[in-house]
Amino acid sequence: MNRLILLGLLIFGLLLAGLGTLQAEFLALALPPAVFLAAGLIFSHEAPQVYARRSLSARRVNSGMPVTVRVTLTNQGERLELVCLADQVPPDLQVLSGKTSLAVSLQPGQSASFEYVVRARRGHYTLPELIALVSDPLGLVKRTLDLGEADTISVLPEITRIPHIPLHPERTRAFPGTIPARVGGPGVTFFGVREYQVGDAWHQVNWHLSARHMDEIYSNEFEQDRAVDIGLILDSRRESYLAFHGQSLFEFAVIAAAALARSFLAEGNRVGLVQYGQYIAWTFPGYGKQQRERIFSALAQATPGESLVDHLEHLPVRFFPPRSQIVLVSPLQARDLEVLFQFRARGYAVLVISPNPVTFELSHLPATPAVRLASRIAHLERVILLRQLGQAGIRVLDWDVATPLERAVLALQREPAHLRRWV
Amino acid sequence: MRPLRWALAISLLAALAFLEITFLALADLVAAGVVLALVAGWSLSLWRRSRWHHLAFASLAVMAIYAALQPFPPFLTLAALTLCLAAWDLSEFYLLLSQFDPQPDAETLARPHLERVSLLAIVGFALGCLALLLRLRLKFEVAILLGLLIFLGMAQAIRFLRSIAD
Repeated sequence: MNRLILLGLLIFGLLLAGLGTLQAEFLALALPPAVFLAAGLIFSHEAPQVYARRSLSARRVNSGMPVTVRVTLTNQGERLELVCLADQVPPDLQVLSGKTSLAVSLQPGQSASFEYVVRARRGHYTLPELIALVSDPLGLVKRTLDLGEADTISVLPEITRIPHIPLHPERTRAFPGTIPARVGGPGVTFFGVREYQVGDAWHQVNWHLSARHMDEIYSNEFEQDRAVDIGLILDSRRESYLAFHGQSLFEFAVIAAAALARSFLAEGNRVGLVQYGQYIAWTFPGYGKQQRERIFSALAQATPGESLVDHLEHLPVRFFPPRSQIVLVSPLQARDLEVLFQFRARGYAVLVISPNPVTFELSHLPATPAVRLASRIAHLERVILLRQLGQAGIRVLDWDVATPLERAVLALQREPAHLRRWV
Repeated sequence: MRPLRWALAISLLAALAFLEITFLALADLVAAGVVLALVAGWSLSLWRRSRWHHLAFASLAVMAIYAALQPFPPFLTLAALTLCLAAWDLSEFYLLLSQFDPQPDAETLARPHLERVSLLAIVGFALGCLALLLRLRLKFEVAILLGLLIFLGMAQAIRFLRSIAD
């Protein structure tokens, strides 16, 4: 309630009552509130010159790392009896220490500051604009001042280092990388033999073969390792994920996507990210550290959402170059099979990293006979689903999230070569 | 914040005492009960950190006006209204400060505020007493002039509030 209005109403009410009843007592009663009102109006500040600055120790941090926020308030005008400033900390940010608000009296040119330390889980947090409340000495006239801009803190997902994952898309890029290109040239893996050409190094000459042909000299040819286009798809549909006691399977999917992006980019590949959830969030393909930061930033903001079209069919696959590599991170639903088969039919090499929802759910449920039976049924359904994918030439990593990802992906290295190649 | 709490308690209790004396002297037990209930409600709202003190202050001001209408010397009513005003101001300040984290300089904020409120209350009460003692006779022209001043003041206040809102 505006105190000024209440005080004004009281004064004018008393004066009018005095005039109406012709009793001087009412006029006398109106004097103390009138003195308060007059003092409040006389000493109110026309345009307070207050400035605030918020500084953060880091705007992008890894999960669990603390961020120190410091807010400094400076008075560049006349003396202010009372300035109140409170930083609206988002509820998901945990304040570890310090204070988030300040009430202070400021002399001209004087500054005051407060500092606090926050920590958060993966996400993108916005600290809203600073709003100060400047009051006259009696608190009758209060002005709210909009000071400064909003700040953001991005808490990146946990990023694990995973070993090399062998990929074999049909199409590679022209740049050197780590993916065998099925093209002869400089490399380390034996690829074939051809006639000696001027410029071939002596150590390239296949002396055994050349000895059997008196008129010809033959050189060994090696398989070129090149970079590839990789489309990383993170399934962000809410119905795909389970959550128990604040722990969500989606977090594991994000961790997997971050680790894969880091690994693929470190190997020189061009990587793009699509998040398919409430809407389709697209990080355009790119190389190197900048792209890595872009993808991590996108993953920091990733949240599962209710998709308007809950079918993978609407994925913008056309953004990915034909016959390139698609890596889908998803627990998978039965109806996704058809879409993945279509990807294969279009010539894409598809790898599915699938956090296992059955083992995840089972680890959070009591071990009753009914639960065990249900888990066996769910497990069988999942095995059938994954087997169908395998029969279509789609590589699948069924990831039990209790196992660290860096250990789980070793299974992809142990796959027989005929499963990895030409699929 | 201890001096602030003490000042608030003293001003509320003193206002209660003055109004109770007035109404008990007038043998108006209902009004005395209402005042007691209002002060109790005010104290309770402060304890619960809720903002009912505006309503309590407005109600006590109405009770003070009611007391002024009675045939009883108005000095006690004037003192009660002045103390209610001080308590209302201190309540607002107390609630404002209590919203913030523990402030190391809360005492330094509260002390000047207490001094200012005390000074204004004394000045207001003194002016009120002076007006009651002088007993000026208002002629009709003076009353008209006073009414005009009231409306001018009201217009200025509305203009000022609009400027704040903008």
